[in-house]
Amino acid sequence: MSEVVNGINTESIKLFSERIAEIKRELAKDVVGQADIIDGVITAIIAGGNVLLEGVPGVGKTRLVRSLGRVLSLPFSRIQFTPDLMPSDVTGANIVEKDENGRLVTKFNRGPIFANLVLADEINRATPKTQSAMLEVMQEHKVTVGKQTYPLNEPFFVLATENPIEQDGTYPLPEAQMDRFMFKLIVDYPSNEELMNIVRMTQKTMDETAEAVVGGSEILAMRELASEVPICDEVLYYAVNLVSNTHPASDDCAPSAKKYLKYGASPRAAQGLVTCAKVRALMDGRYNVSFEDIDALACPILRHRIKINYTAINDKLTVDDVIGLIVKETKKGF
Amino acid sequence: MSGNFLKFKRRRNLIRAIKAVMLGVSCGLVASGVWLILSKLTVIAFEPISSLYVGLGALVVVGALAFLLDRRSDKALAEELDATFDLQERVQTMIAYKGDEGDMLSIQRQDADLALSKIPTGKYKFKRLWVYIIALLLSTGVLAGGFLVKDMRGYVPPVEVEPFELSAFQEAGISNLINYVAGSDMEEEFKTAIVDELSRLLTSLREITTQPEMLEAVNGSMSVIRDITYLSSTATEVLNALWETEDIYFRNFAKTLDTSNQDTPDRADFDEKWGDYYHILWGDTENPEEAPKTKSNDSNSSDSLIGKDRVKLVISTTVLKLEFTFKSSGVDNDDEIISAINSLYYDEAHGLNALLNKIDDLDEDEAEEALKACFGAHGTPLYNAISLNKTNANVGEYAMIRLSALFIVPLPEFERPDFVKNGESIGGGHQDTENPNQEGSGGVGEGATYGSDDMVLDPLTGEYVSYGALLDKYYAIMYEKLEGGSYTEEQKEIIKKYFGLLYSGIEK
Repeated sequence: MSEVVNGINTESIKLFSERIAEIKRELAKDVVGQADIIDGVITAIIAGGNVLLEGVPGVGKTRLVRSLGRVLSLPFSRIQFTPDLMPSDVTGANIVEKDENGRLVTKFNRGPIFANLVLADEINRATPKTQSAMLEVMQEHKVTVGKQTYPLNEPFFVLATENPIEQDGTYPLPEAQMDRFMFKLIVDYPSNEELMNIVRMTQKTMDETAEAVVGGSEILAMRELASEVPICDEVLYYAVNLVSNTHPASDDCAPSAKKYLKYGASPRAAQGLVTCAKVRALMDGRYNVSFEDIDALACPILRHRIKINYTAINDKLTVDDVIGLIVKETKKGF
Repeated sequence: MSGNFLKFKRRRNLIRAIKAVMLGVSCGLVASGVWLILSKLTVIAFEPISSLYVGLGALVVVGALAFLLDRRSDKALAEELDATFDLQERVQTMIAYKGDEGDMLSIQRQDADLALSKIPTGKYKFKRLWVYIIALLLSTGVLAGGFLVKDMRGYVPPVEVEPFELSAFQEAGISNLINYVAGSDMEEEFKTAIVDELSRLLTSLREITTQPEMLEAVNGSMSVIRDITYLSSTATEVLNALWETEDIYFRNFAKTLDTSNQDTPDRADFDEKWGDYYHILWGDTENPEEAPKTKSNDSNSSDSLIGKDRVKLVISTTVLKLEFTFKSSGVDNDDEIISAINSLYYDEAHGLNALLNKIDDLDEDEAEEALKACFGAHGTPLYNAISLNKTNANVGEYAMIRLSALFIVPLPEFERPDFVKNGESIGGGHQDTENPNQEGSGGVGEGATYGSDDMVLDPLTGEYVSYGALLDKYYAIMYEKLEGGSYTEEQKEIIKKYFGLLYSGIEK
């Protein structure tokens, strides 16, 4: 199925490209369209980041994640977040049971978080307490119950979903926690043609038919390979500048940021931008990061890390529109 | 370093060199052209050939500077290549990590090199070549302009010369002047000279057509007439020579002959002064109060001597001095006045020297009669000489003044020294000859300043009229000529201003 080529050489890079192509091909069996979303998810997974998928119900968010789990042959779990979900429902809890000798012993019952690929469905429906427990695990890749710490298997990803239309009874994720997601991807409603394909496909079968093409160790190897992709100082400086230009309080920020933003992105955004740009470059068959990579990743990286103000709302500008303006203004200096 | 990158680097340097050469040549052509144009337009004597050296110099300097300043780093070239050929920062990354080791870096370098190898170096173009071509063409135009521009160095713009035409009034004025001088009592020799000069002037003025030529001619004639007047009127020099001997009797003699305070010599006045001088020599005066003191410089003072003894002493001392008295005056011995003075002394019949020779054989009365005879014989010649001198001066001055008025030309410098100011006292104190500028010492004086009522010679009529009336008359003539003539407004202003100055200069 898969092979890992150790070291960095043309073989390993060729294999990287092949694997990416295979992943996309298999996912296409179960997921119609959404090429950008698939690219984004794959990029984030290889970069080691978590993804927040936002989309209306029925656009295939859960199906995508499930198919991804099959393709990546990673243990997959789904957590449906509801208001009554407790943190221990996510992480697991100590339970008391009898051992073979009949003595009462405490045993940690692992929660659904103990998987490599976790789908946190409708995360905004859980209470802030449960969200915090989830997000802490996302950050630390370990679970602490009582005095015991249980590391999670690598690679570990969380793909969370949000429904943007049902806001009643939901608990929007706080900004500090949104920052833990590498990407926020907007899953759009499929086009008519895509919808036709979806209907045709699901009329035949609703089952996911994608097959596994890579494993966890390969994902780790791909991650290591991508991290070696060089980035020259000009591009690095551009990425950093782009993030710092989102801070309206700064004297050097972009004019659009000053006009339309309440607050800007954290340093994690700059880290994520560079990491994901390396992955993207390699996925694109290149061996260096370019300005184009940074530009392409600006929206997924930044949209959940910045907040627009009433001026932007008044001017009927979306977050992505403001990000586009900031990118344009940052480019002027390069 | 990637071989393909080096190829582009060489290409860049070639373009850089071509740019530098084109820029240098353009600047050289412009510099040459400008230098050539300047050499033709300015009075600074640039040699046209120097424009070649200037051009070459500019070419070398500008070309070298352009080449040096256009240097670019590998990083800048990499940026340019990535942007130009959309290489997605391959070359920049390659250059950024050129010294580093690593498998991925090595692969990246190969990838960048491969991407560069697919691009022909010819595609790296000379950007904005058209700008340099246009610059070359324009600079060639400047140089061509330098050759085409006319050499203006020898060009002298035509000077607008004011025309001149001898008017009937002026011609008549000169003719009348000629007649006046010819009919005057001026000494013949000098009269002829002035008449000839005036006639020559008239002839040339009939031919002259420009104002500058007229001024030159008139000024020249006035200078000639002035010099003739100097030669013909020597009274001041002669009398000054007598005065500078410091001999009291010579000084009295000089005062006797002095007519500087008279416009025309007065015979009666001369006779009176001549008589006074007789009495000074004899030592008796009708009015002792008015008689000058006879303080002498000689060791034998004649203060207490009168009569024969006094005469003997005076003549004996003055005759000796007479020999050298006029030597430094600059006047020839055949001058009328000097001749008359010499005759007074050396006349065999009635000269003072002759009297000296025989005075010891005469008694007082005989000596007195002899002295009277001497004075009687020589009074008229002396008066005639003085009178002629005065006439010469008057006629000469009149001629100059008349010319000045006819052609509105300033008089030439005409300074006659004043002789002995009025009020000079002979006996009151020793004359301080070391301070000739003291009042009354008889040095060169300044020109006269007229008051409104001072009598001056009217050149038109030859009569003496008040200065104020004369000024009014000339103003009227001037005004009539200006209004009827073809003078520019500026010329009219200047002339009217001149008369204004004359009016304001009148002493009231």
